[in-house]
Amino acid sequence: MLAELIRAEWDRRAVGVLLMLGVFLAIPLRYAAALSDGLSDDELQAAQRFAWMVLMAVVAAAAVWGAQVWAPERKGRWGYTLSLPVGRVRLFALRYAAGLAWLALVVAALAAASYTVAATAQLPRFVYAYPGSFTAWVAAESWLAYTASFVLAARWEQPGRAALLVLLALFVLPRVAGGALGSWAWASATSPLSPFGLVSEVTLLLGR
Amino acid sequence: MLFSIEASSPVPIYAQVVAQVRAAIAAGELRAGDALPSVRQMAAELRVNPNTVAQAYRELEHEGLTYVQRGQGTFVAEVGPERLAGERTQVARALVERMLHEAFRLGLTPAEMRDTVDACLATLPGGGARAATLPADPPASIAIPFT
Amino acid sequence: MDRISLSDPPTPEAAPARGGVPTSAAAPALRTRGLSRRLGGFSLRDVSLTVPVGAVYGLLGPNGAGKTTTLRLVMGLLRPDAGEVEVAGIDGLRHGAEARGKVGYVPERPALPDWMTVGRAMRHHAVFYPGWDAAYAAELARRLGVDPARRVRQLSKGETARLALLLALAHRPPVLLLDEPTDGLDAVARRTLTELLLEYVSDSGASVLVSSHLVHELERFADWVGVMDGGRLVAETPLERFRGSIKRLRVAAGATAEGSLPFHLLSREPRGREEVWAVRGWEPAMADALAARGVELREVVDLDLEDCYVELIRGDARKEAAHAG
Repeated sequence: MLAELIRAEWDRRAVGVLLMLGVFLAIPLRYAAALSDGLSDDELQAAQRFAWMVLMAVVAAAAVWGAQVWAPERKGRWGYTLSLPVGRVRLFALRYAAGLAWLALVVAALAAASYTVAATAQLPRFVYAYPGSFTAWVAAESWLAYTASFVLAARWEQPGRAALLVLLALFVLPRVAGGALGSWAWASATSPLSPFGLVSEVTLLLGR
Repeated sequence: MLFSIEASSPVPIYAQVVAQVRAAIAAGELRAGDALPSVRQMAAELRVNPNTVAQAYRELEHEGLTYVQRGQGTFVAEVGPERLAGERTQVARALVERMLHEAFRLGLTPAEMRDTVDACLATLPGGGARAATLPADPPASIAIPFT
Repeated sequence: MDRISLSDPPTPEAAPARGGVPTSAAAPALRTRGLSRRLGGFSLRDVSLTVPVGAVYGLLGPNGAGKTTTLRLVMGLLRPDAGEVEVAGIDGLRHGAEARGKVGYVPERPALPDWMTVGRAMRHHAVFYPGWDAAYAAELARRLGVDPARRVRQLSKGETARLALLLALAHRPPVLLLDEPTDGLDAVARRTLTELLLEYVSDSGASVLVSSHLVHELERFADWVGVMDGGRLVAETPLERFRGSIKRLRVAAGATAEGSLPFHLLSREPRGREEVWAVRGWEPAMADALAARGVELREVVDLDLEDCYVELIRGDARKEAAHAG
């Protein structure tokens, strides 16, 4: 059953998956190309922001991905899926896993590319503890975004709203709570009030 | 042999099927050894419940008009000439009784009916030999507009 | 509105193997007890229906009577506020998934994953049903004219209905739950659907609960009739008994007071020098009883299923109005 659902997710969103794969494979390579010429302080800041953009992109994609899992059901007013001879909990778990499978592939591609770049190019060490903690950071944030979107979209009628809410919670709220001015990217990511501030702190420590 | 049923008739569907098969046998359209459609086929064709068809077939078998050959289906039984004549009489009686019932309800008298029957038989082309080409029976009960 | 039963509770006799109206009360194919549910302004109250094994049960009722809600409750798409559901002996509330596996369901508006092709949808559906018969599914596709290459979102209403029936039958369930399966179909499609349905019932002995507005069609093949109105089940009886019980009587005008009648009077209309009464609970022996009460009975008119149903609903509506007024 799970195999069929994973295949179904692929059939439905093959284009999206391939697109994301392409983009997220290419990003570290572009990043590496930018870094290989040596860095000034400004360039470093830019590089950090760039890494941060990647994170946001993946997380946003994950949030939309999670919300869109239920799109066919919403269109059909849930009649089909709920009339299947599968318990509701099991059904949710299966759909969750099926959607997550492809997202995991994309994140894995990003990780693979990052590691490749790290192995082949000479990067300054403090560039956001790349690639290990960067990968962990992206994986953790996107996993949370996907899960939150998935759960909210199952209950709400508008998936866009679910995805938006998740992104707000992950990015905007911590920034507001942290009261940071200046580099907004840093404030939300590293604020201890953000769940990912925590993750990133931990992974930074481990990466040291 | 094409069967048809009328669901809105007060006559139960199974009884309509039985009556039609009997009439077909009486008229010689169905002969000994002829196969009746399977329950499944008849039910789908007539768009009626297979239970109903099965009930009709059981009744026919019970009356000795058909027999069942396991694995093969239902077939018309050998019906002796007296039995056949009896069936013909029954069919005729049923038709006439229905006609007379309606006629008396409308206030016609037996004498009127007898005269009319004779007159119709006299005017029918070939003395009724072409009866088979006449249209099928009208519905069982005629709707009378209220006075 | 009171629930008035036109039948005695079914006696626990075994259903005959073939022929006759199935009336088994032991482990019926489908049973609900006291189902109730509020939904917005509408409330379904105390619906207890029973579909005997091997029976075709026609569920009639005006729009908004609660037929679709009842079917959705049976399938577990809604949870009841009160009551029980039992499908093929399985408790529908505690073991919903297992119960649904025994049912071939055609909802009012089939909502299949619209991005798939028909063929893909069939393969997808098959995964959830261990009893899926691929050969039978292919044959059904051929008979129903279902094209595997088309996208589900491109299908017309008729094509969707046919696909929905295919999906419901192909896993060979013992119970069919059909919500207006021929709604909006042309006559040819309706015939094909009905033929396939009856062939399936012949082959499998499956039990069917079908709700439909096409009373004339139902009349041909229903064993049982259930009538719903205003969220309640107001009648449940074998078809022949239903038709036998509801009649129109032509009586002379100026007849007696209603209180002393042996049947339930649904309506009385003047027609010239006569009156026409619609009655429920009629038995042939009552003709004499009427004469004894000084009612001059001119004729007992048999009604087809649609007329019986309409008289019943109108009669109850008049009663409601009388109570309210």
